[in-house]
Amino acid sequence: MNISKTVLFCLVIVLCSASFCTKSVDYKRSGNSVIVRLESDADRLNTILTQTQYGRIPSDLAHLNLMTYNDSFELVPYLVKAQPIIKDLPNDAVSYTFEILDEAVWDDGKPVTGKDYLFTLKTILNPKVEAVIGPFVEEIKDVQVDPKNPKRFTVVMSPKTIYSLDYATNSFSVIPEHILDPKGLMKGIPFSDLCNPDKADALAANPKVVEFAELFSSQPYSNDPKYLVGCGPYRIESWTAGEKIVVKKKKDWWGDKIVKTHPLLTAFPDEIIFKIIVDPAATTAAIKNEEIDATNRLAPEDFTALQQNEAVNERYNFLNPTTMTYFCVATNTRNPKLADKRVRKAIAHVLDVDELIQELYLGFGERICSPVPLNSPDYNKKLKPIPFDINKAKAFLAEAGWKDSNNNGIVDKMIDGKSTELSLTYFYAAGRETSQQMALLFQDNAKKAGIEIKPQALEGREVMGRWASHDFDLLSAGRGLAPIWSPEQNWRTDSDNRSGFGNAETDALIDQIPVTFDAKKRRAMYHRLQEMIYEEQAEIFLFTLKECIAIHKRFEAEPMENSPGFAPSEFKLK
Amino acid sequence: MLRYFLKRLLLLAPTLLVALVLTFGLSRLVPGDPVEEANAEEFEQSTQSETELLRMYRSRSTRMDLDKPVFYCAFQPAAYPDTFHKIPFRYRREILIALLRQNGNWPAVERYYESLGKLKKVLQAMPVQWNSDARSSLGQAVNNLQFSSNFAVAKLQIGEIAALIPQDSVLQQQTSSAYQQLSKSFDYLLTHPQKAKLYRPSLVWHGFDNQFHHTFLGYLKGDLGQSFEDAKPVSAKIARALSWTLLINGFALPLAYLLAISIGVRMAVRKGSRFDQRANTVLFGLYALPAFWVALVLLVVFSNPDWGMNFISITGMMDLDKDSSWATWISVSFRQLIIPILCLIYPAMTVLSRQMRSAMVVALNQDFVRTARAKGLAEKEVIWNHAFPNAAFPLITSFGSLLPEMVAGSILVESIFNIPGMGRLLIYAMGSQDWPVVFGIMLLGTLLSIVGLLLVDLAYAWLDPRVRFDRSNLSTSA
Repeated sequence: MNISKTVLFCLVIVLCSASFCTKSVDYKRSGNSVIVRLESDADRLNTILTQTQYGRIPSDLAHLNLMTYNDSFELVPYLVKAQPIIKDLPNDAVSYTFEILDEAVWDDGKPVTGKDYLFTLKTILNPKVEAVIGPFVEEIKDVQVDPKNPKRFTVVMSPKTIYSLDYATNSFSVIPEHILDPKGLMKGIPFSDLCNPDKADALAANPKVVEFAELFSSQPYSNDPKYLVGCGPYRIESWTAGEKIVVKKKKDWWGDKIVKTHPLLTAFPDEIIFKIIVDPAATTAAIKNEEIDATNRLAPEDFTALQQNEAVNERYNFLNPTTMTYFCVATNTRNPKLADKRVRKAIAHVLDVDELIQELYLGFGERICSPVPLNSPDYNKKLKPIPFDINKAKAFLAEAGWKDSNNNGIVDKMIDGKSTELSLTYFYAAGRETSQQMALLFQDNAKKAGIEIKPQALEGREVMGRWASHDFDLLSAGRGLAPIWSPEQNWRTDSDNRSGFGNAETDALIDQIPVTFDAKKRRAMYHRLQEMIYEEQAEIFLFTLKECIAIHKRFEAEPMENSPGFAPSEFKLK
Repeated sequence: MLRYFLKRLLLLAPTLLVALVLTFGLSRLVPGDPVEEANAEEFEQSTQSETELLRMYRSRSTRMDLDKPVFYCAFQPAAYPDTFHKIPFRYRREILIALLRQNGNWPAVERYYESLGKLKKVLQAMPVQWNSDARSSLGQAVNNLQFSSNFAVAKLQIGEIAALIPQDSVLQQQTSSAYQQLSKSFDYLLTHPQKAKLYRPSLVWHGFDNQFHHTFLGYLKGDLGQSFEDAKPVSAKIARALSWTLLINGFALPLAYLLAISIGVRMAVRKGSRFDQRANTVLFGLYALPAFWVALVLLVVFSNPDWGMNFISITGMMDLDKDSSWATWISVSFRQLIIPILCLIYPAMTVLSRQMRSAMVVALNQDFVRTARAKGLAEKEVIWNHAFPNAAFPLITSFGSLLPEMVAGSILVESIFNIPGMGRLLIYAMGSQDWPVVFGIMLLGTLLSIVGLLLVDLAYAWLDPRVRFDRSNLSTSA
């Protein structure tokens, strides 16, 4: 009796002390509804027409692609049962045979079929529909739906490249034919005609094509929940322009039944509300007030301050996945002063990138040496970031024949018979404090090596315009990174090629990479191409930023590299 | 009076037209290309082929009505083509115009640039297996030439191309015909300048199928057009934003006037007293504080749970919807909007109070006030019935400018407190070159400026019987 009393007494003491020691945190909100901050309003919520990530993020919750990328940058089945059956065809063509999941249905219970996939492609290729993804599906030459099993279909693509499967499966979501084209306007239009550029003008004049395009581009198809339907786990409930977008989980969604065998179909929250908060100070206040559950794009200083705030830290997890964008100093190798790679290397050595990351971005950045995602197996890890070293910069300049012959602090050289000083204009976007500070730091350090950098702030559009028209010496630029690097547009000598660098070897590699299906061989080619670009410093790669994300501790959530840096549908209530 | 009123109303139409023409003209002077701006991702990052970008550009410029001439006519050098608006991409327009300015022969410039495009296409269409050093160098040379707007440089680059082609037999076979065309067209361009045309002005008539005409006709029909950004009707976008702006300003403006009148009159009546001195100091102090800074401080203070003062919710207003009751609307709106309204009130109130005080001091020293006092009227009656109506003129004048400002929105306050009103809409539309939205807001602003001034005139006449606007009464007035 005494023993049991003692035990009971001890237990009570332990429990009481535990309850006193454990500081309970009361969350302001409960329930399985996630509030996500969007820093700008969506343009449209039509998955085919939206041109911004602010439209894509909510609309992606209502739709599914055939396949999607996993964390290892591999395409894996999403709406289809398994990896496709691949068959090589004559004339560099290839066919992929897919079968859509048996359970996959639209909201009205009608099955998702290959006919919907075909309709989606016809919509994208309709010459009067302004689909941004149009070019990606140009290589699809035919779609054959199995008459016996409409869920099974074959996609023929030409030429066969490493991008083919991505283009056919991951570049767009499937939309319902019977809901979006009730009159069957696109039914009678042969897919082969839509793929044929010679027939584009005739099709653009076809009344049915025009009627459908007008219907599809009309306002209801971009903002009325009735037409924003997909086979994904959520449906768009409402969109109040400038304020919020509400998406709700479908009752008895088909994916829930097979989520054990298809974990990618996981969708936890009952409701996801996207609230538009533009101002950074307002966002910080909203976090402190627990008004939002998740946000990306916090300014590094706000992110750090919030992390250091005890009350906020008890309520939010702070995450820093790497973003799919990188920053660089674009160089114009066509400029005689920049034609020698040693000059570009000297410039790379005067850029104190580590200090930039530390001082301007409070350490939320990671150095990058090529335009490939850091975590991708295609990234050449042998390339080492160029260190800040004024002496090395001076040595490279001297090696290239640049000397300060008139002792004015700027090195010079005879170019085309004229004494030319190494004075370069550096364009950057006005209105961004970080860009301005970077420009000033760059200018100061370059001066120490005898390079005169003249920073010039231009309106953001103007900087882009100068870059596109090759009218610059140096400029501050940023580009997106893709899971599969496609170097053709930026690096082939006869393409856009803004830096002006390229030769027969780079062109050959660029041509060979898309048609090399042996991953090992292709990786070697990717590595070689990165090595060549790095050796030339045709673009001086600086860093990739880390996303600054806050997610409420009510939820279990993992960061991801694609924007917005998290998947709201995977937020699991604790 | 009625005649004056009608006359002012009639002036409304031409004033709006002039405002529209000016805004329209100024918008065309802004650097950049709205088609590229509305699709910045594709056009800036250049992730797609040139042919595809061209197709997209054409399709979008047609939708945005930007493939038409800007105005009914153009006064320009005779050398300039009348189809310049059809040239896609800003960089191309700039290069072509630079070439034309040196030569003046538009058909020759056009032919030269077309032949350059053909050579590039031939080069791009060459199969992978024909890669060579010469081909890569040629690719670069053609690329460089495409962006070259100087004849001397272009001549050197064409010489470089000519030297590269014979280095590779396949290259020669494939590109020699296209190169010949390029070379010929360039030679023709150099030998057939028409510089005189550059100095000869010409008036080009574009007809009614132009951007301004379409916009203007739309306005006449009450259609403000579609937003470039999201293709939504401009009127719907403005209506939604206007409701927010009117809500906050509908409180702010009357409150600013009420406070300014009571403080200003009291200061004037007690001129030189301790109250006057203290109120002066406070008003000057408030006037010196930038509104955006005050707004940020108030936001940080009153939304901060750390200090237990989280009265404002940043997203609170967004939770109101059609189903919310009136009581909820009022309580939430009051709590959410009180701080933004305060931020709008105090700058206007400080200025108006000072104006009120000065005008009232003058009025209180006038003979008619002295007479009123001598007649034995109560001080209150003297102040409010005799002095105030005469001192109110500066406040009425300010109303004329405050009304359009009120409706055009308060950019800073709306941005900081996350209120999707007119100010936020305007700044966003200007940033993204969404001209239909900008035109709509400007037009509304102009309309309200005119209405505001008209109301000011009417208020003058109402407050001061000496003020008459009819011609017949002008000689007897004042």
